[in-house]
Amino acid sequence: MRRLLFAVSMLASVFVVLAWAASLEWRSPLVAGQGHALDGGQFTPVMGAASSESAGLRITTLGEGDTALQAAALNGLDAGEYSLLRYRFADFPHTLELSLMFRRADSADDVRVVSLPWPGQGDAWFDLSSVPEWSGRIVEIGFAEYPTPQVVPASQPFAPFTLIDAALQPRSWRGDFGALFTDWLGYWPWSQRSVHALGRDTDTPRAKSLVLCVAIVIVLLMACAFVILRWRGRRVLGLAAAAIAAGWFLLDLHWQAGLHWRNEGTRALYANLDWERREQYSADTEVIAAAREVKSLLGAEPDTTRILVHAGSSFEQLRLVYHLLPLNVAVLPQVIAQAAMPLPAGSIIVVYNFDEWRYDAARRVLIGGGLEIPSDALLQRGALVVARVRGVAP
Amino acid sequence: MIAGVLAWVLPLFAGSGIYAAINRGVGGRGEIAAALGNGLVIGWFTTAFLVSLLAADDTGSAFARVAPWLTGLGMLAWILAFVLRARASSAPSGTPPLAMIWRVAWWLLLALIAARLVLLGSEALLRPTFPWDAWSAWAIKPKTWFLLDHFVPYVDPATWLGHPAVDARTSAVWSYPHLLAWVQVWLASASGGWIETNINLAWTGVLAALALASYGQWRAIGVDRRLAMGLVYALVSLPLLGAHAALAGYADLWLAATFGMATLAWLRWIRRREAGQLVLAIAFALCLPLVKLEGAVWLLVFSIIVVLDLLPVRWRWRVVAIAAALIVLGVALGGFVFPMLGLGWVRVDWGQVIVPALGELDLHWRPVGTAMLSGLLTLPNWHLLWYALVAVLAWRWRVFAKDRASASLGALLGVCVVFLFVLFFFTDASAWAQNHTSANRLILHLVPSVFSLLAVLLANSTQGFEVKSEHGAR
Repeated sequence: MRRLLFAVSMLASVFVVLAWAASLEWRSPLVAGQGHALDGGQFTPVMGAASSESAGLRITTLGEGDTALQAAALNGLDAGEYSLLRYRFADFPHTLELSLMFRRADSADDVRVVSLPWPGQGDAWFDLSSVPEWSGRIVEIGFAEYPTPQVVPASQPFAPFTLIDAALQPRSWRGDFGALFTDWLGYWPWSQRSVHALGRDTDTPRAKSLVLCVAIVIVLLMACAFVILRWRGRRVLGLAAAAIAAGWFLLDLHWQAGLHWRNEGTRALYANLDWERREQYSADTEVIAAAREVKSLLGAEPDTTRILVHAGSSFEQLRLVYHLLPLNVAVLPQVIAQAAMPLPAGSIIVVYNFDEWRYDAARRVLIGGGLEIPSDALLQRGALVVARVRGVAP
Repeated sequence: MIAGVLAWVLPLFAGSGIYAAINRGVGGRGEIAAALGNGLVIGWFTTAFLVSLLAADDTGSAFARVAPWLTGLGMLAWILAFVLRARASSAPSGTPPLAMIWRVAWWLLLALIAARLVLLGSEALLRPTFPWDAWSAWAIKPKTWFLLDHFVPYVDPATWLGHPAVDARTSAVWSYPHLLAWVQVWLASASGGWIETNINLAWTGVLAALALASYGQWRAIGVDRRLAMGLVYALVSLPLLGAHAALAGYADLWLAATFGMATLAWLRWIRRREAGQLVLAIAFALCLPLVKLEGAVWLLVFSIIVVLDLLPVRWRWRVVAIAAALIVLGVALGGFVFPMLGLGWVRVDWGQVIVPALGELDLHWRPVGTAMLSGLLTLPNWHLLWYALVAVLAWRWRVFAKDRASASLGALLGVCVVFLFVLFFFTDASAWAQNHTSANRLILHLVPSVFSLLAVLLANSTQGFEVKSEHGAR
């Protein structure tokens, strides 16, 4: 009898923890019916090309900004009532990310974007009630797909995929649990944050932590064994050890599956390339091209020539430095901040993709950041300016 | 291809030989794993030293110049190990056979560990250097030296700009230590080019080495092989550790392995009084600031605890009290300075610590507890490690009073945790906790040692303290 009570208590405990994690609304129906359902064919390609097929909308190319966007008009849907999004894709590539975009009636010119979990196979769910902007009347929704930032080069060959359907639904147990499991079990790509903290790198609200829930279930298991089964001493310890080991193993299976998924994405990018091509096949191909141009220009410079790099973003700046090695290169703002002295004559300044900086050919000065540096232009092409410091600069 | 393989085999050969010589053979329980794990890291550090010594003026030939030396050093070390082994008393090696189910579980865990390492290695072998600091900081010096074909000094920006005729370089990381840079030069030289993926595979190698060293050393101090394998699986399975192997390039995994191996050797010395293990512990500890500047802090803490541990019990608290009184007095009298290897002369004032390599740290309370707990307990960084640690400490806390190894390691990690607490809750480093950046990486340095603490605490649960009594610990 006690064992039966223990089993029932544990099942109830697991359910309560899942319900808490899913922010389940107890009074909502088990299943919400169709809600506002949209077949893939009801979406219109806004960016990129797509064609309507029996299975849905087949997206065949990315468009402007290496993004595909499919949108569908809505007749002022009440966001508060329809707060669960269900979406389904087929053949969605490992190398793309997915976002939901929507417009509200009260500000139809503003496009709001929410990063969504990678769709995988079957239905994926997302709880929009956790998104503060999801309110008022919704007049348009759409899906945007684009290469994973910082991971996938824009030149990655596109693999077509299909938007099968999507639906906006009222709260239901099915939807709440669906959103929880999509969040917990969904795959996410590597990001720059991955060596600091793991998980989907997004500002979009997330479900409650899987790790925390597993830990809570283990604590409840111990409590039930202590109270109901009246286990003490080594039996409780043995149960605790087994529960922690099982919980750890389950979390690790999930981590291992995610690693495999990421590895498939990495293979899709690099497996068929030799090192020379792989080196150039990264998310900063334009910076690499600029570095090659600068290297070709400055290849004959003595090793002592100081080369100072400035760019529109820290990423471009540091990547340019890295790609320019082994030239005697440093970051201009860092050097100016730490070395309050004139730039030596003969130094070279490389400015990349930075609108605030320009070369004034008439006055023969490089202007930017409040500085005017007397210099002779060596190269001005596109986003790249290379100039040699002529005299003493402040 | 052959050079690429030899770039791993030769350091392993030399390093494991050095380990075997210091350890006086590899005949005991877990010794082969310990020799391979410790040996790979010892080998790479030795290689780095040799490359800096023999190939600084011709980095492209680092492999050709250093390989013969490693071969000779390895042969000499193994001969020495053989000679010393013949004279040394054999370590305990007999273990009762396991039941079939445990044997299956043991092999299953080993297979899972191997599969994980293969997957992580595959990721490292495919992807060019990806994480930010890997290419913007840690690869800057070795890439420059290798592509230039010779060493050039890195200096601060003012010196670099002020002496334009001198062939020197500068970078935001000009003061970073060089040990890993020379390892990278070695691997690049063996690869015949700056092939990042070949270099980055070393990070998976370090994780494998840490796993082997942990298993071997835990077995050597009497940890049951089932527990040892289970803990090694748990260690290798940690997501953040795996991420550092897959997305190679940061120094944190190397620092964690080095600190972990220092701790393992020290534990073994406490348990078995093998002088060679104390030498290893000191050698690994001295390498900490050569891997990463933060290693200087761990070296300081390690040194303090090891020295205190060597003192008779009645002296320990007196020394601690005197040191605390001197610190209070020093601060009350307007501050004091002390040297830290790798960080320079550190100045301590009331409410402020000045570390030349890091800058001024203003000390006042920062409420980052939620962010810290979130990073430890809710993000998928550590599986259930911190929950399990709390459970084991609550269950086995009495062991600290009875087992010297547990108490010493507990004290070491306790002081490290206090340091991290002060760092994250009282300095601007709180931002690292708030935005989930460096906080977890600093914690990662301690994680292999945390597993050693778990190993000694849990091992005693089934074995009593026979090893301690056998060797007469105080």
